[in-house]
Amino acid sequence: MTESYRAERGSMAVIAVLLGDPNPLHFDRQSVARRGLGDRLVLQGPVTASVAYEAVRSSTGRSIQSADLTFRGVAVEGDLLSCDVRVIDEHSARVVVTTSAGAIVADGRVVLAAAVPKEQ
Amino acid sequence: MPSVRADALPLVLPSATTRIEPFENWLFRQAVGATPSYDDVHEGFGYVACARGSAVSLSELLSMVGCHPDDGPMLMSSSIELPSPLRVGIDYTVTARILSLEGARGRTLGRYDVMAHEWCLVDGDGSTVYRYVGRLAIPRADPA
Repeated sequence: MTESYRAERGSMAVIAVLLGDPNPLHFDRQSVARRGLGDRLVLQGPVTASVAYEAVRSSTGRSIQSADLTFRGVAVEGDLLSCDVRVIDEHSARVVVTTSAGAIVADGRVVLAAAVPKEQ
Repeated sequence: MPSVRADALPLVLPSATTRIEPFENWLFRQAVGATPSYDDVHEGFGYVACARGSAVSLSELLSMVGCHPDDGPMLMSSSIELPSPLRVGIDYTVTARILSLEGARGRTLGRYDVMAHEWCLVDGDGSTVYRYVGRLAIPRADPA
């Protein structure tokens, strides 16, 4: 199952404030340009991770007990991220986050929390 | 130069207290594309609670190993463990440790160190309800 997420400036700013993250690469385009990194803001790594967690949650209907992610690239403002979730077995899933250009941003394995029985 | 010596690790850092407010969780969930909720704490918010609630900020952690945010540190990997769900409106103790600092070399980064650090959220019963371990690449200038 694939879930998608668009990296947008407003959301990145909200995250920067919540994190108390002063790194201007996440909210100041001029700072990005001064660093020679183009003209688009850099998505926070923990956001990429959270998007991956959310995709697993949405795909499996289960909460996350643990997750190990490796970051292989950087997503930037405007990127449309796709999260491909493959259930490995009853307890775990694999997730791969890619940009619309096909570059892998992150991938890893997630252990799912025990399913909660539905109330009768 | 790093003020933290690799042979003195792991290094336990001061702890602090934090609380997840429902409106912050709502804003976070919206920002990462999750279904809006005040009470259902997103797994990703554990990182936010630690980063903001820790007595030692990520910038200060980097400074301790001789790195400024402008040096371009990069998150290489992250691991989280959630033995039980996070909850809004209760106090958590945020603990922090620098676990390791190891030298490395790569084609893109050149010489760099890998710093592993840990943040945990501990509830009032002393149970760890969230553990985060991040591994950051710390660029180092090659000696002239």
